[in-house]
Amino acid sequence: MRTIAIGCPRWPIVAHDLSPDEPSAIFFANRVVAASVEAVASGVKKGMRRREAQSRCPELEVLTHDPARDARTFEPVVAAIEAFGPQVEVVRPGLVVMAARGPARYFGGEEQLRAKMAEAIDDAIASKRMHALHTDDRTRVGIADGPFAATLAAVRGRIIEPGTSRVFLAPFPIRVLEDPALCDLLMRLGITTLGAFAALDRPRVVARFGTEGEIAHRLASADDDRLLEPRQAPPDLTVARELDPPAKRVDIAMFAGKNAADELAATLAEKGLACAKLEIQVVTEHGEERTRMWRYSSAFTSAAIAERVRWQLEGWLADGAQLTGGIEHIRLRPHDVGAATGVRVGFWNRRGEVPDRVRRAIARVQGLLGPSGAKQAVVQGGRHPSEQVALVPWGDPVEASRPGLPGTRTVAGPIEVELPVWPGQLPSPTPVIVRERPTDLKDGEGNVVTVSGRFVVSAAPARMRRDGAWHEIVAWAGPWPVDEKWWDETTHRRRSRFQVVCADGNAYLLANESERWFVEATYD
Amino acid sequence: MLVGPMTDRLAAAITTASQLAPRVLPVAGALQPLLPDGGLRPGWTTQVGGAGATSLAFAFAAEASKTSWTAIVGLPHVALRAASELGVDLDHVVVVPETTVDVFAAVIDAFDVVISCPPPLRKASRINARVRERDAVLLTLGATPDADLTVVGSSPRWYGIDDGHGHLAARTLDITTSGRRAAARPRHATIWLPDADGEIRPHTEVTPIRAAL
Repeated sequence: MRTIAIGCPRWPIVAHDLSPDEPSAIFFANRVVAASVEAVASGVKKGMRRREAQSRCPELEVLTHDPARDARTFEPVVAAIEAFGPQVEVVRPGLVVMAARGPARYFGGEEQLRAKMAEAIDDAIASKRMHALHTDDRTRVGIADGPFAATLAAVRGRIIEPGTSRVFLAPFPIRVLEDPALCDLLMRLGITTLGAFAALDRPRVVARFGTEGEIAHRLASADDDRLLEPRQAPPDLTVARELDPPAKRVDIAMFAGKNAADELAATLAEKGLACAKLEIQVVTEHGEERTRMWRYSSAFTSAAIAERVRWQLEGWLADGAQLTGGIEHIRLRPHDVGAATGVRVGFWNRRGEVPDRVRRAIARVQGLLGPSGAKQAVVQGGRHPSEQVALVPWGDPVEASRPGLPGTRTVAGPIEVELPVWPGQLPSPTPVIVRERPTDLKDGEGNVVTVSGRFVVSAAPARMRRDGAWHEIVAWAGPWPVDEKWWDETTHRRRSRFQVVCADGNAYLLANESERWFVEATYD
Repeated sequence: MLVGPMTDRLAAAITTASQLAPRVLPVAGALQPLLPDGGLRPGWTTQVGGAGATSLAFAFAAEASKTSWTAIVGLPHVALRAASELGVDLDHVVVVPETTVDVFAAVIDAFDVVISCPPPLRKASRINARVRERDAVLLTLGATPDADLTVVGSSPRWYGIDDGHGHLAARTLDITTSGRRAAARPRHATIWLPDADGEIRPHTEVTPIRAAL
């Protein structure tokens, strides 16, 4: 099927609306995920560590990674694309595919359609921006057989003649499939181009690589109108949620949305099905209806479904011009449903099945206190105990943003827990209560203990003030200097840490910063 | 001191009693002598106080958290890394930083073990009743009226730290438990919480501290 792909290069950067002359890059987990044209020109590359990127380009503006924001700002662009025809499918913020045949006939040919769309979309983007769009950031439109070939054609701004897409794809390296595990395996098998992979027999690929292999094979052979082979007419799998009262705020709508997403994922998994497209529909209290189709590069995972639902709800609710009332109905409908034949899942899940009673209790608590009322703990790296465990609202995708060095430590009991090692972290045991309060520290002569700029302590601490009374210090250790984020004035922190034990046996983690003393944490 | 047939009879009586004893959630070996049933009895409210109370609560919940779901309620300042080091399996932990009576009720209904701040005084008896009814284990940090069991830590002694050098490495803690009914007789023990290897072990006079410290 002739497909048109509309790509906005570097969308996460464009979404930030910075001046095009300023080099900027978006980081996640200390690695570049997107870099502006200027930054690329100074040698910043995707996947590069922050320190290296900043050494190549010292004036680099560091932006935070926020896919929800990218999706929200992309919503008006999708609306502009919808003016050209139905069957618009969003692959990710910055990339949309749609059927090309009808619109091409209407606009008098594929070349005319391509030029018209590029112009209209650039206008739509420019109207929401303060700064002009860099010429390299202009929208790119490509037409080919099937969404995958069209996407690659869009990168080059080309139209691939009908029936020649497979030839067009053949020389591309295998890694454009964006499935690192599969690509790695194929490369070691000597299959380095899409052409070589497409030449393999599909049933054999399926037998060896399961659903993901089948999807990759369809992409490589420009046969990806449907990613999954329907075995039978799928039953109605629509999941609907009614919101009473209608929700105007994203977090409230998302609470129902997340719930529906979970149910859809659970239903699909239970029936042994997978879907590659997701239709999200909302109806407001004023009867307005919005529908959007999301396409995934392979079978949707439950986290991916929830993420798309959140992006979409945020996009619709943030753009006030679109909806006049609160959302009353949310409907999720899977499309392109096929049997999930052997998706490569992990061998086991340490958490195991979350029992229904626990699920219900969490839903109840989140209903009472909001999504952040119930959280799960994600162990990550960090120097200070407050950084070493991130609390993530229950149900959100879990990803440690500070992975730390892999280190295995056995803790009490039979289960070995892997706690990441971080340079300069406190020695264990870790203090149990982390709560910063001011305090005072005096030496044996009654003078305030000070720490010099070179981290030299004026005298051994002898007494510490706690809850208004002075307590004798019987043992202490320190100073352990910490000079964090010296490159950033606002978050720069230079303190020296001490451990002290009082005469009553209570132990504390103290810190001295700018000549003031704090109790950072308590070893209760 | 009991000797001869008397001890045998006592042993037999204990065996029978343990067979009749209710199902309990497991705790680390060093803590077993402190509990009347050698484990956490479902339906009981336990208040933990004194020195090292937070570590003690985590230590009591650690074994159970490997198989049971644990909620940490109304304790926004606890460092979960420390809980993890004491053996709490964070994969089975849900953290509820804020709390209301409704939250208490929802959590007690569903979770096997709940570690919480003391419930509001006026609602304490209602919450205790709910714990009994749902066979939950509630460990509160602080005074809780009508608790079934009271655990008090005292005389913490830290090892590994000296005058300006070393670092906190190990601690011993004296623990006393007392309570109502089956727990009426007070029990005492001194434990390492944790020892130099990060484990919870009974303290015996001969326990050497690793020379490296």
